[in-house]
Amino acid sequence: MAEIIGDRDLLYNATAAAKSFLESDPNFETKEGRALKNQLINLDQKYAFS
Amino acid sequence: MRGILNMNFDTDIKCLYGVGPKKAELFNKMGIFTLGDLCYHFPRAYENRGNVIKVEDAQDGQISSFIIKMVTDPYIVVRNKKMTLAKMVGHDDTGKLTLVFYNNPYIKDSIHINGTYRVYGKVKRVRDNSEMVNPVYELVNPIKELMPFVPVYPLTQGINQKFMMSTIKLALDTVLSANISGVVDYIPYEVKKENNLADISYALQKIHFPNDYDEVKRARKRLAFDEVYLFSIRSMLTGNKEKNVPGAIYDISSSTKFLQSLPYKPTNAQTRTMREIATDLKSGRRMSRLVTGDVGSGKTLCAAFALFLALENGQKSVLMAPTEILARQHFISLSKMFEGFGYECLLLVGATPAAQKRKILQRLLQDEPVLVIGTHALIEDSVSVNNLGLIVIDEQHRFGANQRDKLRNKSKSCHLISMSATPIPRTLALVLYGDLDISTIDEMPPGRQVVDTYYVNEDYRERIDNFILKNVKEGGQVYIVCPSVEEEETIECEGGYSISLDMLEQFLDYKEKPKLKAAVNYSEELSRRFPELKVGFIHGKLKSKDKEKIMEQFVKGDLDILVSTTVIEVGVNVPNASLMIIENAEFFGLSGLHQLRGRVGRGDRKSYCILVSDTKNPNTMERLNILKNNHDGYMIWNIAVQEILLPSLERKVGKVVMQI
Repeated sequence: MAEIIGDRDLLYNATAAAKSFLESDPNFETKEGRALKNQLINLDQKYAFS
Repeated sequence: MRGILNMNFDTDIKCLYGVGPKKAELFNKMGIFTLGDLCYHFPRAYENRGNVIKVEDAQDGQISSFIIKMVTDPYIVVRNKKMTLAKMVGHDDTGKLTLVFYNNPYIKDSIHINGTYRVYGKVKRVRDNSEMVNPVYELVNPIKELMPFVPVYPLTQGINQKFMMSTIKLALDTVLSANISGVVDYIPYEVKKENNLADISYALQKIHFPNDYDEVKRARKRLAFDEVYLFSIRSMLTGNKEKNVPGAIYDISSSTKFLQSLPYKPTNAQTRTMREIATDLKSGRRMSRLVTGDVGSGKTLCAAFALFLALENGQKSVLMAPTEILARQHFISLSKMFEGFGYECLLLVGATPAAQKRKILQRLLQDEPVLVIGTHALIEDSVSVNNLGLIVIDEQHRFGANQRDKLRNKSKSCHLISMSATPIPRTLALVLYGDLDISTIDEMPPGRQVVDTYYVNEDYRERIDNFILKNVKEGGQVYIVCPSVEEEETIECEGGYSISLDMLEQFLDYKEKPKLKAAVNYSEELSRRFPELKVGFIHGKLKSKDKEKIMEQFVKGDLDILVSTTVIEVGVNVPNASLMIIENAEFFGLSGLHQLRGRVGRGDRKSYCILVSDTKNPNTMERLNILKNNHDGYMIWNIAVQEILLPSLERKVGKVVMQI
């Protein structure tokens, strides 16, 4: 994470895009939303997030 | 084998041709279970084999690539039972190149007279002849073009580069061709357009098999964006859930006893943070708090306060540090601090002798309140802690999410403090760590000296050398930090693709392999240059015992100069060290440089930091100048945000970010 923090543009733009996406598709209903949900499930399994 | 159309990221790797149970087991050892895992197993470096030069241009010691036609067959010499040597000669239109292979008698079946090969490796000039020992060779085939950039992967014993590369290629081809439209992209089109991001299929292809550095750069940008994007969404989703887990209620009445025992008055920011911690601990909900503060701002005192309260409430507490050096340092200072209260501290690191470790593990199973300080050794499955009340993770960003969770899973209801010396602004921290409450120590203890910082290029080498001599003659000690351990043929970055794009820019700017100062080689050079000085070196690849010994020598003053990698970035406290020289400073991030500078100026000696860089990249020069002109970590961030970040934010995302 420290390395990514060094890339300030990327960090802010990605977090802003994430926030904006969650506002527009909170229930993951779009095509991208469904794909994203799958990706999050994989992430949770891999890193035991929740 | 399943039909190719049914295969996706979740398909088991055993479905791939060539991956049997034994190979699958080896992949599993590396955390690779599915085709998706293979696709996301990124190269740690690339070999630029496409940059072919002529034999007459070969230089001694350079990693180079040549296309040569063999004029002899391999000639095998058996030196003894344990060693065979194969020699062969090839040439291009400018000169002759001898290839030497040790212990590879079967080379005669692979390289043949009149065949044309691309060979890649280190050149050795012997008189007028050029020679390569154990080079990589590939048959030049007019039908199949050779890859210009060849990925270099992290491996495990039993899986070589060739097998890893072909398996990843197969996984990628399978997944990408299984769906007509390739992998479904979860980043909306507008976001990709606005941020100039590549498609995920392109990024995955090119991170593994690029044709040039521009393609690597584009792929890395997309994948790094994804990492932050997914992390942010996950943090936003789990944020509130994490904050309402029940936790032990602590009696905090002994806080005063702790504060009265201190030989100095805490700063207002420390007091505020300790108050926030105490409020959490008596609230009845599980504490999950991030304490951020600049180098030397006194985060450890706040952690010690929480550790003390856990012990006072009859529970065990654990402090995990990213390096052994730092763990030992915490052990020494906290043992002293808690001795007066009658609490014992235990140290558990990788180098702890087995017998002592067994004793510690037994103690951890008993009910008595003790403080355990350690490194990654604490998260091993064999470590079980009974009655665990509080975990403190120092330099939390140095641990992976799964490592942090593994420690916390040792007791689901225990309180947690994460500490970070990266002085990120509170607003940003809220986004990054949505699941944590945040305390910010934005005030330095009084009387802290400013480290004079200079940013110079190689032309100043003689003056730097004189300054080193002057410093040592006056009784001071010197740190010299290099970006790599040994002279390498490729730039290798920890953590796969999570290299900062700034750093990648540097790599790209050079067009050719930059000459990086390497700790081991540079310390030898310095020993020759300063025969009257005692020079030592330390890096992460050394054995714990050796690291400890060298640090002890430096602390005692037995060494004048310590050449190091970033292994000394956190926690090392040698008050007599008064000069920090950072070589190839362009290869370090702003926060890393600031941390390194924080290693000097810890005693009474006037201290200096010299950033040495020949970079011509305007962004990097600006970054180094920000560090030169500023000493407060938060100020450095604010300036970086004002001058570099905000203009681009207004241009790109405007109000959305301001709301964050």
